[in-house]
Amino acid sequence: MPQIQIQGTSIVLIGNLNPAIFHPSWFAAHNLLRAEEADAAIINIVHPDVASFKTEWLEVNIVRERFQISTVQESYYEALRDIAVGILGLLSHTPIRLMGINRDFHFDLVSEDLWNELGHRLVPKQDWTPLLKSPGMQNLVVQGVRLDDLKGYLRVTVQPSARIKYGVFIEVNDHYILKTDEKEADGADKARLILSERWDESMKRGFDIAHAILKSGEKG
Amino acid sequence: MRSGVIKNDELEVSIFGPGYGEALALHLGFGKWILVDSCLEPKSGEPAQLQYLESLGIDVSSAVKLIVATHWHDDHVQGMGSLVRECKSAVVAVSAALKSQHFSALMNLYGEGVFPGSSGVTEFVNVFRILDERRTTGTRINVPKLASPDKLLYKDTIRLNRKDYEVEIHSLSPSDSAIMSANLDFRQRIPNAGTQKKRIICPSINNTSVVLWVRVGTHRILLGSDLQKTSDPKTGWTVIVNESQAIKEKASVYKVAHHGAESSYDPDIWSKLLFDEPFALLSPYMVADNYLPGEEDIKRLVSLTPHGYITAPPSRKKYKASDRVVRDTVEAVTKSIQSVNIGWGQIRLRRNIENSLDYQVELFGDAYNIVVN
Amino acid sequence: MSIEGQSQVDSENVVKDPDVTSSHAEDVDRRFQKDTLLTGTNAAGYDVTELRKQNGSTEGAQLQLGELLLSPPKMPPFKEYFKAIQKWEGKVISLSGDTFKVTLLPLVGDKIVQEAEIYVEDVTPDERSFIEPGAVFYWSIGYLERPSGRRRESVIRFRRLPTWTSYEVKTKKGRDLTSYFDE
Repeated sequence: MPQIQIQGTSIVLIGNLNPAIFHPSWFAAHNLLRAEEADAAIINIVHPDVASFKTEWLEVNIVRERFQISTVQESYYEALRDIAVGILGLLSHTPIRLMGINRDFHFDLVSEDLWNELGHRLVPKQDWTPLLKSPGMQNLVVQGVRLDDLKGYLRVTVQPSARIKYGVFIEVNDHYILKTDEKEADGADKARLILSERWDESMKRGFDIAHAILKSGEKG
Repeated sequence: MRSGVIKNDELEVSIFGPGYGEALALHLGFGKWILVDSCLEPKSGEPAQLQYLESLGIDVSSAVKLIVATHWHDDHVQGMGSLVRECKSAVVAVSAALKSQHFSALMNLYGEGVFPGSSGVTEFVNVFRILDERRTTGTRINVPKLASPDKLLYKDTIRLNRKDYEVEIHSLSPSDSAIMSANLDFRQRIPNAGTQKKRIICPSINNTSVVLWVRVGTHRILLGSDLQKTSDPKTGWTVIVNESQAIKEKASVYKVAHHGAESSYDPDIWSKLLFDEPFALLSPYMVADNYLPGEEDIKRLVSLTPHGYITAPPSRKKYKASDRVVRDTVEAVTKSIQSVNIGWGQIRLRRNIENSLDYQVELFGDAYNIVVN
Repeated sequence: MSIEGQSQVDSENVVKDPDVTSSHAEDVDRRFQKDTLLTGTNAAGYDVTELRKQNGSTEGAQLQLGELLLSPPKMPPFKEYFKAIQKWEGKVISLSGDTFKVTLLPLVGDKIVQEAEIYVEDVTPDERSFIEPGAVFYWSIGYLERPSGRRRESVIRFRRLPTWTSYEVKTKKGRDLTSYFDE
């Protein structure tokens, strides 16, 4: 079974935000980050329209319509979730209408044969060879409906990895629609509940999907 | 793991337990089941009772008639939300002590996504959220019942060979005094602004616990939950032994209270509420320095009945990681580390409701007879 | 295909996509190495919630703000990645002297609970104030992959949540769940 070489997780919220407040010191003041982490943060910009900084393990990028935090440190996945839960609790009146919990992986398939075989399995070439010379899968995106009681979908992206020779990049976007019309309450509380109660299953789902894709490419 | 389709004329008492968690399933005849508390099967992480009933081919959405949450401690309610969600026909009964504005406040404060992950309080929030969703249908069944002394929670009549057998389940606790004391405890747990958010630690004295008295025809079962013996004669076991009106005859099966702890031992339970040498069932409890049943507790149980069974060994085992890096690191960072719920088992008692033959005992997983062992 | 470094985004190739919680760039140009935070309207009308980490995890997003394109500081092509071998969620039971007792629920593998006594000195000093009964922490053991090589790591991090606010304590008290009972 191919091994994960690199992986990351991100939480994305779509709504109406005020980037200016998201300074590292604000995170520290509200106990979301350690004071030392906040002090050591590399700040790109904190501005009414955009906030962007990173710490040793956390990357924060926020514009007015989108909030995004991410990490590639597996030991901080739960901490990432806690930051989102904490922020959603503090800003419970912030209009949030969509949320994504995303997992991405770079797998090492080791051999060119296995790498090509996976690509061929996911995108069979026989329909393409009459049209293109040496067709190769560059980017595959497949979306499916949710199996739970929540609105949204699951979207999977598969690409050749640009970081690993004979590697494959897989991203699983666990997308939640929190609010479909104006009469509904703003989605911050719903988002917080999903993060609190469904984080483990979302993480597992992303992991399982990615591994299942690879398994489908294994020789029988 | 367990096969054995249940017959309509059979009574069953099953107890499930790892080292942190306990749950019961009772068959009361003709495919009707009740569930008491909830725990998760360690390997699958799924509620043990649901797994068991599904393995018997039972449709839990119609077969389960009553779910009792005897108290709010983590080890008795893990997975309770799933139980309530899946068992759509079941009435839910909880301790009357939980009808409290302070407990309500705690549910509001500690539930609803405040703390990632599950706890006793969040499971209750889950339960009430599910009931709330169903309430809109206006179905009577969805109104939860409050368990208090001598309260009838379930009643049925089953007919076998042209003879009727009454089925009744009464709660025997918590007493009024216990309810008041629990309410004070809840109030004290409400946090103040500016304090750290952290999980609730369950109190050592359990005043809210629901003891159940089950009667199926001429057979009686006492389910002791985690109720303890207290110095206040108006709480704990003393008030039940002295004042309960629902207990008219003795029981032959006893789910031993609070994992066999000395604090839950009252000799009057054994002399006044139970036949000699009853079937005594229990699960272990192992958290921090709490290690139940201890050696003395087992000795005491053995002296009281030869039919004592436990779902898993009450022992810890030194934790040994399979991965070398984990092993080395754990060795360096910890002064000690042990695996707790290293066992998993089920004790199943079955008997015919009509005849006087005794219970058949079946042991699954790590369950064993504490007398023999 | 080889591991490539970063390259500049050709913003003209980027389809702007608003309701995307993934960077749903239709761009399949392999030169598109960076994440892009997309704002504006999605021509296809899709809602997307991925961060499109095309050919990379968080490499440092470029931010398109109208005419302004903000690039992050030049990041080295290789980053630190932590690969966990074992992870637990822990809860503090008690603190005594130089150790604290905990229960540990594995987040990986079998859910067999462990109990341990952990040395306080293995907790970073500014988190030691969190060590009290009921506190939750995460403990990960694994490898940190760095340009300089692989290193074994053990990370204990206490859960951080904002303190209870007056608003929370006041308003949450108001909701009466006792109405669920009709008795």
